[in-house]
Amino acid sequence: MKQRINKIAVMFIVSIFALSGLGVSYAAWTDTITIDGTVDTGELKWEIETGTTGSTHGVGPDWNCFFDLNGGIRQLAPEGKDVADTIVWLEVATHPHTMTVTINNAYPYYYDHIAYIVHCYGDIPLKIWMLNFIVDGIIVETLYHNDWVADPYVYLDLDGDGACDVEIWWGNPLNQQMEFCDRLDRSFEILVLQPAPQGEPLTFSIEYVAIQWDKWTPNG
Amino acid sequence: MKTAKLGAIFLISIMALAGVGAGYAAWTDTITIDGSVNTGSVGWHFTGVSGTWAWKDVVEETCIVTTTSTKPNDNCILIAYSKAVIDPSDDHRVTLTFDSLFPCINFEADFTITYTGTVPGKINSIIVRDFWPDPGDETVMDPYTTLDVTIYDEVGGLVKEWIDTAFDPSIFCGWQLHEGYTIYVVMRIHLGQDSDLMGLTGNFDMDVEVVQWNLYPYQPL
Repeated sequence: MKQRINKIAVMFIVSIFALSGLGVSYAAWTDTITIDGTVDTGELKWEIETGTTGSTHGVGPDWNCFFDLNGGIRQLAPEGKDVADTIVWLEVATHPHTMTVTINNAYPYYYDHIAYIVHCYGDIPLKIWMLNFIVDGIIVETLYHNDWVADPYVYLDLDGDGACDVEIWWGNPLNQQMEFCDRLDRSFEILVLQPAPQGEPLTFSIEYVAIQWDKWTPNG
Repeated sequence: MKTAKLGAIFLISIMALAGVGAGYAAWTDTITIDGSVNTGSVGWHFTGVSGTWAWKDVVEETCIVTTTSTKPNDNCILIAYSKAVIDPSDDHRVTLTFDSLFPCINFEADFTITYTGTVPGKINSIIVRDFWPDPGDETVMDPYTTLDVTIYDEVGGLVKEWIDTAFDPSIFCGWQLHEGYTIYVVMRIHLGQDSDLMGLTGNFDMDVEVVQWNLYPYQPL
């Protein structure tokens, strides 16, 4: 009898131990759902449209402006002469970002007007933001919208002699918003000034920057 | 223990995200316009000269006039000459010399100017400065001085000429020149048979300015 109780007790204790062991080796009941996430970022992109670039007086009789774009008189060059030429070239690309304007045989008070269309092809709305004028790799002037409103005329010294060689009038404000597929007509004027040296190649660049619409500021 | 670990991971994540937010600027895209201005030029310079040499052939008792300084023959002696010489260090300057002139011979000093500017130019001003020792010499010499001026285009075609023109430089102002044009100028002194013309001396200085055609007439500030 005692033996039987002992056996039962042992079996009970073993069972307890076994069950305890079972409790330790099995985790709680679970079930899992999975969320797969994909994040595609949008693009902020704009371009100069192919087929829209050109100069107003690049071919044919020259136009002059005496003596400053700000208030100067724009007129046909004396005797309708064709002395200088302006060539506008757009890079060949799916989405052109660089336009080259070359004036050959320029002389003081030679004037031209350059036009082109910009196109927004990104899915993020953009706002036209700023201009950087660069001479010899250095940003010499920056215009934000407030600067443009105050004074849209920029004078550039291209040969480092302390006197300005060209004047540019930027024709459009720096605050316009563009959505996907929007197009805007843009333009600027350029005037060669008297201090420009004879027989020299003078170069500069203009960076035209658009920013995501919610980060735009009027003054940098 | 587990909560502390989770808390630490969460905090680290926040800090990492904050770091990400501070390091990136707004999205932008840039269009570039490259500009190139190749300037032309306005310019001219002397490209040719000639003159007159008057010789006496002592054997034949004749006067021989040549257009070079080479003696015609061994019997000749040089009596008078007129010539133009381009400054060897500055082709924008020419010196005219009339020496020992005598009556009835056309003493000519001539020169050629070539317009090399790529931008058309117009003769803007001609400034003559007389330095006659005796003002009376100028008055006497001017009536015997004439100019021939001929303008040719870049292929040698005649554009304009003035023959035997009185020494009045102002008539040339406003004439337009293009690249390759040449101007041939002859300054001629032909003395009359007048003994009052003997033993006179004098000199003059003349600046001729050309200006880019679209600014003619040009008055410097």
